[in-house]
Amino acid sequence: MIPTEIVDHIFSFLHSNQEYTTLKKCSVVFPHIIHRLLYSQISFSIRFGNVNSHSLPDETTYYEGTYLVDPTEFSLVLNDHPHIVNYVRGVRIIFIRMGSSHPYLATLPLVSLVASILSNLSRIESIALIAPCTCSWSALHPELCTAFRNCLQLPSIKAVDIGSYLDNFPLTALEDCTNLRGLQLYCGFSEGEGISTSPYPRLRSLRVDTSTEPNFTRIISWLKSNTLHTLSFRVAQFRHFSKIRPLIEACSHTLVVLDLDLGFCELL
Amino acid sequence: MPPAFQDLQVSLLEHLILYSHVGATCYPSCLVLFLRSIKHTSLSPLYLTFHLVLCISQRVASNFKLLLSLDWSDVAAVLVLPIFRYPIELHVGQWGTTALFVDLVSSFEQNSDIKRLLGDGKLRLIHGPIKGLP
Repeated sequence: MIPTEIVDHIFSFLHSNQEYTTLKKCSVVFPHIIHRLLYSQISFSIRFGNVNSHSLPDETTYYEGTYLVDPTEFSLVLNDHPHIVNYVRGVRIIFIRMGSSHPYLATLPLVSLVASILSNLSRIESIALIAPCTCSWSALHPELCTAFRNCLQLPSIKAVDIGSYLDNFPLTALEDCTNLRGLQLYCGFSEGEGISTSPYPRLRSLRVDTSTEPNFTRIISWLKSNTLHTLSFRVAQFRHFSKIRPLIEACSHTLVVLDLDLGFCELL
Repeated sequence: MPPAFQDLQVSLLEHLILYSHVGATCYPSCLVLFLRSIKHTSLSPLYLTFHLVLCISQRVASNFKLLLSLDWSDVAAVLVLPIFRYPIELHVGQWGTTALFVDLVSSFEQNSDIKRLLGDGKLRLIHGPIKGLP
């Protein structure tokens, strides 16, 4: 009999090497150890459009270091092992385009299923929404928007990543996120109505880009909490470069790392 | 200097990480002005990690030879600013052609300030592929 610590170490090694298919097979014998590893960081892929043109091969099991799981399959696993919801710490929702179809129109059942799963995850610390093509937040399925916003309000949430081509994400959805520390907004966002009076979020790390006309009024009001350590700023157009000043000024007493990506700058 | 960048006060700033793409887009010379505008009340030099991405496709590389040599003075001007802690790390990523890298090194060898930094080990040139690109 191999000691539990050794078994744990072996499976941790497989997990760190993204051997998810192997882990899945082993989960029949060691369900608790492997479920805790396998489902700690997961990605849901929502494929839409022409199903004959695959942008990811079927055998792909990972996405940026997370286990890429089919929502239908995960739902079935949850039926048999409902305790798995307690193991999930990070979730990525990735829309994978297979043509030119619209995510709202094309995948209602799958999106509803992902929304339903999200509503059961109460211990997640990080959440990401990744769109591969330009689409508006308001065009996403309302059930998914609601479930996503509810996740943002979880006290366990520490990191949020909205990208890459999503447009019109409402910043008001991030207010009152009491423990949110890391925020990446590689998307277009909307300020929303009213002036922020919330002391939250108290960000330690902020990544923003200027792919659309940025208005940082609400974000600057958040930075008055004097907690920001790292500011990353990706410039899409030269005229946006000057927008960095008010952001720096808002965190000038705490800023330690300044990360400027001028890769998309169009000077001439 | 653009008025927007005059006298920025960042007393705790320790580390600057810069990414700049050369070739497909244009190098922003305003970066030097921006860096000069940073007022450092703590008096401690900054760590600098500079990622210079040389990105030009093979398709346009042959046409691009007509434009060589590029003016690398803006890159050199950033590296010799007296606000950085040594060694400075200059990561040069490359995509599509070596012509830009060769031109960069050639330019550095003709710049006495940069040559001195390299010779004294105060500037570390790290050349490699661009992460995430073929």
